[in-house]
Amino acid sequence: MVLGIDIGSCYTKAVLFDGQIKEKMVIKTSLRPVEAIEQVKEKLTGYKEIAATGYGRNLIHNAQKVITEITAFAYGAMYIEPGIKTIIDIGGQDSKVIKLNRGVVERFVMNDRCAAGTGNFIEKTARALDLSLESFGQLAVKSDKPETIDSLCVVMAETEILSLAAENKKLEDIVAGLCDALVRRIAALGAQVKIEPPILLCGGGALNQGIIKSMNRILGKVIVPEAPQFLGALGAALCLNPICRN
Amino acid sequence: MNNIPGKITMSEWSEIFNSLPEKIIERYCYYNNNEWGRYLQPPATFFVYGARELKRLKFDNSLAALRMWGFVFNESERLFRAKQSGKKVIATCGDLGTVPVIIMGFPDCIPFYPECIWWTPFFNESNVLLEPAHQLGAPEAACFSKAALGAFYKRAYFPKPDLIFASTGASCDDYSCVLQLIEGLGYEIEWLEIPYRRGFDYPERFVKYLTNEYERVYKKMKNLTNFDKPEQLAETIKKINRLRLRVEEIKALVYNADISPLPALELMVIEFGNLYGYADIDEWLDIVDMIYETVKQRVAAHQGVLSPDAVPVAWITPSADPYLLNLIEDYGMRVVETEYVINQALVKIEEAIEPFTALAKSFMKASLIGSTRERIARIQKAVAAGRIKGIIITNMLGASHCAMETGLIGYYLRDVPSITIDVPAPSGITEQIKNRLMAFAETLRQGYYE
Repeated sequence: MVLGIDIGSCYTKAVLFDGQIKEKMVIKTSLRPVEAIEQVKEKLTGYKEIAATGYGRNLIHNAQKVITEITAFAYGAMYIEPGIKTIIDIGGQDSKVIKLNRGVVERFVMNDRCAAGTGNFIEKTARALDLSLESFGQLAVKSDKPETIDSLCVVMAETEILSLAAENKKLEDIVAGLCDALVRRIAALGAQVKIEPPILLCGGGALNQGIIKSMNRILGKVIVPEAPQFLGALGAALCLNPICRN
Repeated sequence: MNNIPGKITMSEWSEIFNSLPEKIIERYCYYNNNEWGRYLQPPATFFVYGARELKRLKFDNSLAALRMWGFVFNESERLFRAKQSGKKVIATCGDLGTVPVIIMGFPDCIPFYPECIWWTPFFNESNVLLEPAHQLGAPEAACFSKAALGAFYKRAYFPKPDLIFASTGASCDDYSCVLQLIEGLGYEIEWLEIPYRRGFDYPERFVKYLTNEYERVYKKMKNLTNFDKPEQLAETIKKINRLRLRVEEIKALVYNADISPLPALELMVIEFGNLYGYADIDEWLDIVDMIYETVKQRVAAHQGVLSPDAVPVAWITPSADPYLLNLIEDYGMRVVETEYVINQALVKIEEAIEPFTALAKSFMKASLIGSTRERIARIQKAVAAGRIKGIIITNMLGASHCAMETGLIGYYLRDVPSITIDVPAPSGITEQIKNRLMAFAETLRQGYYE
């Protein structure tokens, strides 16, 4: 049995894997990744080896294998759906579009310098609207006519939201417009690697129903795995698998 | 000395240096002066004098590399000594390798590049040169070459030049602007204009124009020194060609070896030495010869500084931050081709024709003054030959050529995986940049062994 850990900027995800996922857990990283790692190790036991990924991956000193999220997502995606050609990851700190060719990473692009196109964009705008992340997604799904929000910058988007609210626009349409803005940003990013179906959506952003709806509308039907935020941890665990090693 | 090639830290270098016999330290002197010209010093010496960034770098562990680093970092001292001992110190800005050839034809005249301190901010504490440059009017978004403005203002890194030549036209726009600000500080600048090439087949009048510009440089030097022997220029060209040939030999050995015999950082410093020999061309030639012998021995012994399975990549536009060159090797890549914008300084200057025309023709080959497609032609050939598995493009924010070219370079080389790194301010290499480079290495490795 192996332990795969994905230490992300917002959440630390882990899976115990033994040919299949035996157990999984997610906890907030909260700028204390070492504590998060210790909690994972206390809770998930019985493993022989550890593989790490995510921004905090180098903090696990006894890891047998350390890989970037790009490679981890590719391994995870192949386990879930071997035909996947594009992976879109919407994380808290960055977003990535990964192009696969027969399971091997061909190209990737990352947006890691700006909140636009990341989970942070949704978090900040949800806060501005006084909505929880869950209700944000639920509201967005109700919209039939998303408002157009041009600003990709989270600060400017907040200003735009205020203007739309002042015009008495429906909240669900504003929220859906925000989801569309995020997806358009990712689509522009992904154009560099040419997004091709089948597309797998993962990361915390894939838990948001509003984003999934926007993705389906703008990029075409996306596949969302059962536990999308665990794809990196699963991929890390899989990299210790002899088949993947070879 | 340890005979097993490897990369070592600044502290490890100090330990090795302590074990060196005195006779080796005494052997190497700049300006051939054994009284005050010794320069063999460990990088820690320069760390103490402000090159703080050296602490994070790893260096080649050969004596030849130690000698090279000691010499390169000693340049400031060397320039002040030159002035004290009656030599003329001539600043050559934005020209990239041709004006210094003319200057070296005059006795006791030392050319140097104030903009070579473009990388000083990456070795020194970041705010030492950049902050004064900002206060003097250089925009924060401008190219790191603005460090030259801070250096002229502080008068700390080189003595007041006896003459300053600066290029405009087909040179870096940002740097031309910076030079105007330097002129505003009261420095007299002799401007020369470089024409754009516009294609592989440029009009002959471009060469004539540039020849006239170089003859003007010669006249200025003649007036300064009262020396007038144009035939000396032909001799200098031969010396420069010897250097360029030797550097080409080193590069060929490094690029084609099964195991990389020299780190990319040292090789970049060697390439840039072609511009002016770090203000002592004779000593630099001797250092380059020594590096060549070291590399040759390593190749013959099948020894190197990187893993044999390091993935070969090309590097386009100098890295600015030397730490990036270390990083990509740590992540399992090796540099086997470069386009550092100084290609005209790497090729042979014609010896059978009139020297000023030869220099002009040589400069017209400059990659930077042509189109993007021309700039990456050599890289494309290497890709087609299967020598390169990936491309790293560094984008220097504010550098006028980067703004237009970086995207185009990526587009023209779209058939091979590439990654573009926006070089941040000194010490600004973030975990995000490291993450992208590491992921790029993993991606190439998967494709490499497919």
